[in-house]
Amino acid sequence: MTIAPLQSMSLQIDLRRKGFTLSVNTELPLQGITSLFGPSGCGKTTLLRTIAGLNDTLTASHGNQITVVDKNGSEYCWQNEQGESIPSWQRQVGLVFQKPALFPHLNVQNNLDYAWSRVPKQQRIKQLEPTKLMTRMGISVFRDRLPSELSGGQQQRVALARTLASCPQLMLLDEPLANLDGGAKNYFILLLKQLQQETKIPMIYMSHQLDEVVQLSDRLILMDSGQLVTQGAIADVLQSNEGYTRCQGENILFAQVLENNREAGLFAVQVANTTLWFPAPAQEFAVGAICRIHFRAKDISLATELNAQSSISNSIAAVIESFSDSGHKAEVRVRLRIENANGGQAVSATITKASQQRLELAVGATVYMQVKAVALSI
Amino acid sequence: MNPADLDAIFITLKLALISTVILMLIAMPLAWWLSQMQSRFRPFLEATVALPLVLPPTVLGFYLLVALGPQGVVGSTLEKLGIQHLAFSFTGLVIGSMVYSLPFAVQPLQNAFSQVPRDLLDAAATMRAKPLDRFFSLVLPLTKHGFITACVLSFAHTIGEFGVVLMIGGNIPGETQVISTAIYDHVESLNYSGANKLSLGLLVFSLMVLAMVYSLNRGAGNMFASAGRGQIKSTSSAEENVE
Repeated sequence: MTIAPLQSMSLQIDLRRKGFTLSVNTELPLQGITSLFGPSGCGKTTLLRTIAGLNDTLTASHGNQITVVDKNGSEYCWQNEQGESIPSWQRQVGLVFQKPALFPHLNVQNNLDYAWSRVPKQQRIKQLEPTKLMTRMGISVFRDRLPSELSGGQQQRVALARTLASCPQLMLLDEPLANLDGGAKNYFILLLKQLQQETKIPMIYMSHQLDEVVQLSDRLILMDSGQLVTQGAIADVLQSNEGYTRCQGENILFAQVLENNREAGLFAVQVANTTLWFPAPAQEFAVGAICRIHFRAKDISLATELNAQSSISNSIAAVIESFSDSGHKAEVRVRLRIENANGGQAVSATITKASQQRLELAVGATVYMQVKAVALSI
Repeated sequence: MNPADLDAIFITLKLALISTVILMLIAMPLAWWLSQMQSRFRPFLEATVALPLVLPPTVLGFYLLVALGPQGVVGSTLEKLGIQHLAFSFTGLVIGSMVYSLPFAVQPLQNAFSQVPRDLLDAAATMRAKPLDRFFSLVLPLTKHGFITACVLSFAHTIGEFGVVLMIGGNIPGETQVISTAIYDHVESLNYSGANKLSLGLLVFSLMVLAMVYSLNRGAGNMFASAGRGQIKSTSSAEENVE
């Protein structure tokens, strides 16, 4: 039994049922938040339940293997090829379900205590003690309420707190935002990210919602029809051919926060040697911190020279690396690189073939990309 | 009320109490097993448990008498071991009552168990709760109403039984004579007022017990409505503003 968070997982799973296959053979590094993204019914939930040891069919069958390595380098086998497996309650995996699954007969405090009291003393993480956790997550005001007296968003927050209170080595989240509306959703995403950074517990997050995945993940796994398509750091996966096609040309740029002036409503970040200005976002950003800018390939326009006559005030210089198929016969995907001291960041823009010819764009040329709509996240 | 009647009341209560306690201990794992079972033999097992509901008590009593008596499988084995066979004994009555009331204990429990959402048990499992821990910390408190219903029904049903008791117990005053058989004796000897006293007592008792079960079940319904709230939400999440 260990206390250290997990750092990697090796999966070898082959499950065939009528009309459904789950075939995964991979080595997963577990750093930060890893998102598992794919259409509904692609086997995400089955994979997650398998990792948690809740898939009875699989735990009993032969030829599957799950091995994990923790931060201390110790290796543990959760499931071996002979069909022997470690039960759920010995795996130290926390699971947040799509439904909050709170214990209806226990109040909020007791729901958290249920998890905390079952953690052996030497494995307890002090900052995850229920009282501290409730304060941190803004749920201490409901500590005496029963789950039935809470709204859906509050219930899901309690469910997340309860899972954290079990001091897991790995957290699995199965579309925890599926039943929440916009405001509750954004709050939850931010909270999840902050908690991950504070606790360092790796998370695997399942979703079929692209916006959640892009805002949350450090790593991305694309999944389809029970198989892994590709995996890697999020920015790399988004720039791969599969990522571009399946994630609708989403781009992520990492930028440094220069100024966050709430009064004037201005927010400045630096990408390479360009300063970009945005309306100040609702959430807090510390000056000097790294933030993420998200935008779609279709929201980028390219210009051959710096144009002062545009309502789009932000222009970033980039070098054209290559042209490739965009999936539409009238359009082309332009792969761009924003150069900086650390080697630069890749971006994809989708433009029409007509524009490509009109502007005489060529590989190696420098263009100015203007971005209309962006989203910011930590 | 004559001393024989008081004896009958005492024996009835003792019989109901003892058989309910032992029956609950047997019914609990049996009901849990049935509620978790995926096998195609499940309907057959459920039918076996439900058999005492439809079988005439005399049939049940007859076979039990044969089995427990000196020539029967159980009775003869006991005799060989130097123990008295169980026909016409209080122990025989307890066994008979347990078989007779089995569905009344198993069915409410099984119903309650199968209503416990799978998610809750899975969540507890990922929080290091072992199977037995999950049973006591989650299943039991969530199915309290099922337990109370099962206890009350088994107890009341044992008090009201007649056929099985008559067949196995033989209506021996002070030993195996219970209220229902005492009433039968009174009627046979045309002592209608004696029969009426006991009958009226049973009538009032049964009514009270059933009223209690129904009021308990109403409360229990509310309990599960709240447990299932998340499930209802997820189906209509698109239109619903949660926070």
